Amino acid sequence: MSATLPEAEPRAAGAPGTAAPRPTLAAVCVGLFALWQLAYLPLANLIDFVPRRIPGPHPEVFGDPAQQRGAFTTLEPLQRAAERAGDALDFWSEVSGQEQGWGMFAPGPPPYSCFVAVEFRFADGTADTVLSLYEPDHARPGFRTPLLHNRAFNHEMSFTFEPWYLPNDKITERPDLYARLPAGARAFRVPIVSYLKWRLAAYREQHPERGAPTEVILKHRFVRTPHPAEPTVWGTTVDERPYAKWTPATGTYDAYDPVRGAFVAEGAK
Amino acid sequence: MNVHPWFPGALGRWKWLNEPIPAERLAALRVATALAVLVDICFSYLPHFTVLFSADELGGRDLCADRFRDGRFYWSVLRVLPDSWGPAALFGTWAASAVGLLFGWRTLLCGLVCWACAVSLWNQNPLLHNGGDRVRNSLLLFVSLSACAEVWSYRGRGARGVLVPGWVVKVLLVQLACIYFFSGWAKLQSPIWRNGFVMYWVAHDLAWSQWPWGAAQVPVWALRLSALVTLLWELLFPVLVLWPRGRAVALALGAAFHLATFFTLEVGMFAFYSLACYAAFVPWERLRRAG
Repeated sequence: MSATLPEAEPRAAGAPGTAAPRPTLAAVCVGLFALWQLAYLPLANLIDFVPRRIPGPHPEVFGDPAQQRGAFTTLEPLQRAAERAGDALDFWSEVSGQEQGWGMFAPGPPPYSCFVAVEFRFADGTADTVLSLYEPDHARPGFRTPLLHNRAFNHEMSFTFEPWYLPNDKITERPDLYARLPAGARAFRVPIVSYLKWRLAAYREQHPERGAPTEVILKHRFVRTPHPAEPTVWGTTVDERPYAKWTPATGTYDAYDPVRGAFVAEGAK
Repeated sequence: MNVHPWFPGALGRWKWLNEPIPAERLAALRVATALAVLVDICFSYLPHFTVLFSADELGGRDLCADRFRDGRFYWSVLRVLPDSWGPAALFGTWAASAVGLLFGWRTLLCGLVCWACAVSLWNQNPLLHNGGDRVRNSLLLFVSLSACAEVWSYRGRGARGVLVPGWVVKVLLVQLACIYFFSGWAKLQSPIWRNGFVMYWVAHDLAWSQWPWGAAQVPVWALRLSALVTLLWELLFPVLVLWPRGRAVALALGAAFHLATFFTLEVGMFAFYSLACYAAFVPWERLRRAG
């Protein structure tokens, strides 16, 4: 970052005189901050590659998804030293809001789009489903204005991150991955229930004749993307799978286990 | 805050770290950052403010309460403010401090207030946010501690040829290098990134593409090529920025990448905050010379 200035003699604003003065407290603090940041930024990214035994719920709903979990050595002092270093980096990440761990659009989207949908089940045995606010017409998806809906979009799409790479047709290949989904649904309990309540309020406003549903289910929809050699037609197949069920009358909340093919109550084995 | 940082021992003589830079570059960084925050507030949060921040709808201070459990260090001023007026007060404060930053008024204070509001929002409801907001948090912290108001501030255009400490630009460069290189590394592990088809799938994804129908009109080979160029640019970014011409190429490619993703993919403010970082690398001082 060098620049040649055309004007007479460049001068540094507030520059010290010729004699090196004793550094002020502010100068020391700023200098140490700059050095810490220069070290912290690469280290906070590199620590993700060092498996650490991280306490707390798994999966961690928020935080650094790139962080590897486990142990990288059987030498306990070495493992512990790496974990203490990781804790120090985490501390600064959390306090300063600078969490690292970058992977924009990696590993890349699967060959389908994943959306949420909400199903309302009524006492008379009928059901009604409302789609995501962001699921477009499959026949000719229109242009979505950048930025204006991004925050609400992010909020809703957060519920798709965990199941995104787990379509229905792969359950038998890796049942261990699918068995984790109920824990994820439970970890998201509060935001999912608030989302379901919000969608229900809007639904009842539009359909006052329907009354209160007995169950409200958050589902995922997997909308097939046409392959490169195929005609551009989206959604030739649409798979659905429940994720969580909220019962408005009792407030109970159950996560769906795709391996068992059933909702499981919290604490159930 | 125009403080010449003190570095211990040999670090104090390290040219790369101690080299002063024209004041216009940090002023441009300050203006771009403040404008990005104001655009963020006005166009990404406010259109859905009631829905996103009302406890009766999708908000509320206990939405992600688990994030604040013992053993973690996340914090948010919204945790101590009531749901009824806390978010509105925070946004009012955030916007006011961003305007202060824009005009270079008490940049340490305004910058830190801006940063505290941004981190509070990020921690209170991470569901609303993405990586661009992490860039925002870092950017505001760096700007607040930098000598960013020596020129182009409410006091006027400032003196000619002013140089200021350049450490912020170096930290910013390391942050950008980390973002791109580690993203590139993660992508390199993916077969669809290595064969370039990832951009086909992203562009045709009904959720993440902002205009899948339009993207379908682009030849597959062009989409594949754009994926491979992106991958190479990200992986080579830390090397390219080591010398001036390479840095110009890396930043030009970066600007094109961020503009393209802003209009085609649901990345929100990621593009704006990243481009705000780039403002520190443009030789704005030459405009003064040309004028």
